[in-house]
Amino acid sequence: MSDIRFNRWLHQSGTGGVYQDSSGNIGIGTTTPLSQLDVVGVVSATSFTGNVTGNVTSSGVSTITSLNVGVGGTILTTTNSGSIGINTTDVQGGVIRINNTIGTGKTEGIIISHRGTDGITTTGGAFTPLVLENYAYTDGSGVDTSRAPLITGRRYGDVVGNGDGFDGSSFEISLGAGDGLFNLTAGAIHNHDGTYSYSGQRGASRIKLNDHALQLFKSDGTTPSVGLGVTWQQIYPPPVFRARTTSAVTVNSGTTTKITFTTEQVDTHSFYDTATSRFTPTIAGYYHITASIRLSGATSSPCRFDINLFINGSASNYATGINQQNNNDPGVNFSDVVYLDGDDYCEIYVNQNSGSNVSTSDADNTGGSNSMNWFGGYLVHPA
Amino acid sequence: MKTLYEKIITLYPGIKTEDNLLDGVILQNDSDGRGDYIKTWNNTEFIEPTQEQLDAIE
Repeated sequence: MSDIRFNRWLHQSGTGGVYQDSSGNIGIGTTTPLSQLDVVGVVSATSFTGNVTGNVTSSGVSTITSLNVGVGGTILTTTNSGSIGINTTDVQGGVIRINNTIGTGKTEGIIISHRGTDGITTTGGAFTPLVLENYAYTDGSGVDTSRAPLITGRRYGDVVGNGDGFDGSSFEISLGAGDGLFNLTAGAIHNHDGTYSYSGQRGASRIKLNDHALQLFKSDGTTPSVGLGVTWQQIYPPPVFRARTTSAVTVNSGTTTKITFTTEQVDTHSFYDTATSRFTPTIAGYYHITASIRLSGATSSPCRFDINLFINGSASNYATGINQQNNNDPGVNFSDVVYLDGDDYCEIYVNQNSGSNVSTSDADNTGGSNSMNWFGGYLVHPA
Repeated sequence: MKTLYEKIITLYPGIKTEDNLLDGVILQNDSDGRGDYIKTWNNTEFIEPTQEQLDAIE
């Protein structure tokens, strides 16, 4: 009786039907079944159960609306030569490549989301959405010699379409609010068992920018901070100023006299005020303060004169010069590192004990740029 | 017109030290138009002069 069913329609309706060939393969909608069951047409079922093995191939458009895999099951396994293209057959150099030409509604490629069953939970933070592993070859001391980056961004900038070239803003990470959302730990070797090995070797560069500058930007306009050690510290382009005298200042003997430097030559942050001859940096930190003064008319020899750095109206640090010869126009340079907080201000005073009145001396006192009477400073290290 | 330093020496010749300073006295000028003034007076031998005493010295 079984031979009767070979190479014949078991049931036929129109162009379709159930057919069994001589090898026992069943064809639905075909008289040449290529496997034990070959369906030419659409298969509908409430569910499929059991293990699925072998390759699933399709030359047409396939859609799986729901795929449930049991515990321990595998959705897809690729071989060393295998690759997956989603919406593309051109995976280029990747193992998986997603090509979004599906439609304008798709603005994000891969979304990895985690939250508790009741929404956002306190335990959600323990989940790491993305882990990148690269079992790079290392030398005997544990140093990764391959130098292959874990992430490479390629953003193709072009006039509509042909995808040539990069537009320069190739990689962008957008973070939410809060501290420490983006942490880089360079050089540590993450062992397969979850431990870390350092082997005395860590990468020399924590963040290396090749041919690019680093811009820190805060949308609220406040000064960005960087972490040094365990603290966050604001960073600034260092303020620099230099001012010189415009006209001679008379310094009476025995009288500590403020020198007015009324020509501003450099003042990057507008911290120097020519009206008061005060340097008032509003950035707390260590400043290198310098001054140079030359006096003329000192007729007593020897005589001494001092440059006094005044901080907040009081004498702080000073430098002393000695005039060894009459009318020798002695000069003194002051140089020191001082700490200034956010509202401290500095001034320069001079004292001389020649017994007579002298003045700041400079052939260019009234104009030139090479004045010998100047007051300057810059931030060495922020607080 | 004598300076404040010169007026004090005129008033108290003995207050002048060997290196032309005023013993225990600090004079200051803040270059703010007010001129020289006595910042501190820590001399117990000579009493700090009044403004009238200083103005009387030519």
